[in-house]
Amino acid sequence: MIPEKEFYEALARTPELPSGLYSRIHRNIGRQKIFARTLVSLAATLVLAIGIVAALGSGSGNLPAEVVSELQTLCDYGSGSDISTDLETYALYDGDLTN
Amino acid sequence: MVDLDRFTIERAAKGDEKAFRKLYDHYAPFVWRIVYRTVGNDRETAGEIVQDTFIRIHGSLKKFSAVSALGTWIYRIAFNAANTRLAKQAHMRRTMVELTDDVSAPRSGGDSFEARDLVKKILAALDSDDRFLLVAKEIDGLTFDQLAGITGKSSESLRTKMSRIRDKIQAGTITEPLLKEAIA
Repeated sequence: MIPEKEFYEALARTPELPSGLYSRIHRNIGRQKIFARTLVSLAATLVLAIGIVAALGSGSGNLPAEVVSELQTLCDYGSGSDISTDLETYALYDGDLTN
Repeated sequence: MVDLDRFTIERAAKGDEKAFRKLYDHYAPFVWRIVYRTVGNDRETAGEIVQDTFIRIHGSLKKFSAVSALGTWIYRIAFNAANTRLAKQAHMRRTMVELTDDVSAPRSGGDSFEARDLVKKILAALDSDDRFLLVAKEIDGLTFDQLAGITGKSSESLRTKMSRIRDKIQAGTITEPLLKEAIA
């Protein structure tokens, strides 16, 4: 039989905390954030799409053409269209593209 | 266990990654130790539970209202995370089976084979809740009131459980008074 104190000392002594745990936790948290942002983007896109459909369906004469166009652009960005390409296109229209 | 400073906790709650890392470095060793013993010396499962615990902490830190100490709150999350994980491995709850050998507890200046063997035997005779209670009470020094808040059980029932656990330990060890008597 061993002294009771020795039992508790042995109980308290455990292997070292594994070294890679924090990086795994950090990665998981990062993934959760991306997932949450993706859900929000999808929801925003859906709301915009519904808004556009409703606006277009009720007659485009109810909304100025520029507004409809901007809504469409926002919807496109939400769906992942290339912003840089569109920026270049607009710059060209405005004569600001210098290259 | 001494709690982390309030400033770091608040920064971590606001999403400061360095502050969260500091929180992890401070509390993870305690969580690891208690979870490791709770699951019966299974490193892999303990590691997964520690991960689950800190992911939950990260997600819930904003809601922490400081009604209890942060350490006690973290223990509660760890306890729930362990139960969730163990529920998925239902056979571990009934564990009268062989526990994993405590393979990497330091030997030098440390435990005799007999001590490690007794720890294994005692833990094998307890369920996961009792193992959690044993480490939290006897090693980490939590009070019965704190443990009641963590486990959702009454202080009285925890005292009774702890008394039975101590009886098992004393049956396998020599208590201080008897040891002194033997030496004298």
